[in-house]
Amino acid sequence: MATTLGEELSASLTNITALIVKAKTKSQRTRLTRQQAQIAGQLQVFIDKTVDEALSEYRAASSALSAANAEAEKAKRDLDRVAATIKKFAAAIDQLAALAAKVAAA
Amino acid sequence: MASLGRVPEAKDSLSDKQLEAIGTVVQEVGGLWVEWKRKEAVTTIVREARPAVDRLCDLLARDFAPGTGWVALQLQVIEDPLIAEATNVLYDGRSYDERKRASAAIDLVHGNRMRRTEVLKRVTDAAVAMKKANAALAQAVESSAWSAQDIQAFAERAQSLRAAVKIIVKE
Repeated sequence: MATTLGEELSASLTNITALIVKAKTKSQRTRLTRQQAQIAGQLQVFIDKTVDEALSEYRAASSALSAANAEAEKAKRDLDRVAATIKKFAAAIDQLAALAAKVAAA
Repeated sequence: MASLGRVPEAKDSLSDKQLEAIGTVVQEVGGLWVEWKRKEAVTTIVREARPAVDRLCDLLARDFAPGTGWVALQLQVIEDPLIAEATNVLYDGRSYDERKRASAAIDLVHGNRMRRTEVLKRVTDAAVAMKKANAALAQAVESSAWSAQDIQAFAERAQSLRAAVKIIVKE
């Protein structure tokens, strides 16, 4: 299992890509593609900047992404869980936005 | 030795055989002196360069680490959205040509991803090996037991790293 936020973000991109390839409906693909773009944008921030791992937002975002990745792993085997995965990634993206705001303000 | 033989006093008091023997000794001692100076220079270079080479190897191993290094992540940030885009075009394409182009794009991204994985591993392996060789060389120099083979082994490690970096720059 991934441990750092960077690793969680990387795993998220991999998982979302796999789900886009497997998704049953166009609407799911569209939503996953949008989420993938958001996560890729966040990962780019972590490539360009050093983010303080002690921030509570960092831990919250890591934890949310970890939960979303765990759900995505299940969804890859059972496509009926894609909708639940999208919800978890949406929650993780909100946490990432909070972290990005904190990093930008620092 | 021709130069000593040209000195008149030497020519008068020493036989040709004696001059030749002296010349041989001078040449040998000169050769040893050059070797010693060369060894001293290499020892100094190895000792002074070690921290910089170690640091360079650490940075290469960190930055090129497959999966976690920034190079791999930077490539992933580009590759994954490309795969997604091509997949969407493949599913939603309205003509055969459109879907054919999307399929070729997916193949291309997958091919590049495989090559990326291989090259990153080669760079990190080379960096780790070079650091080990650097440590072994420094240790050998300190114990005065280093040989030409040690330096050659180090040069080979450096060469393999150079080759890997060249591939990255090219591809």
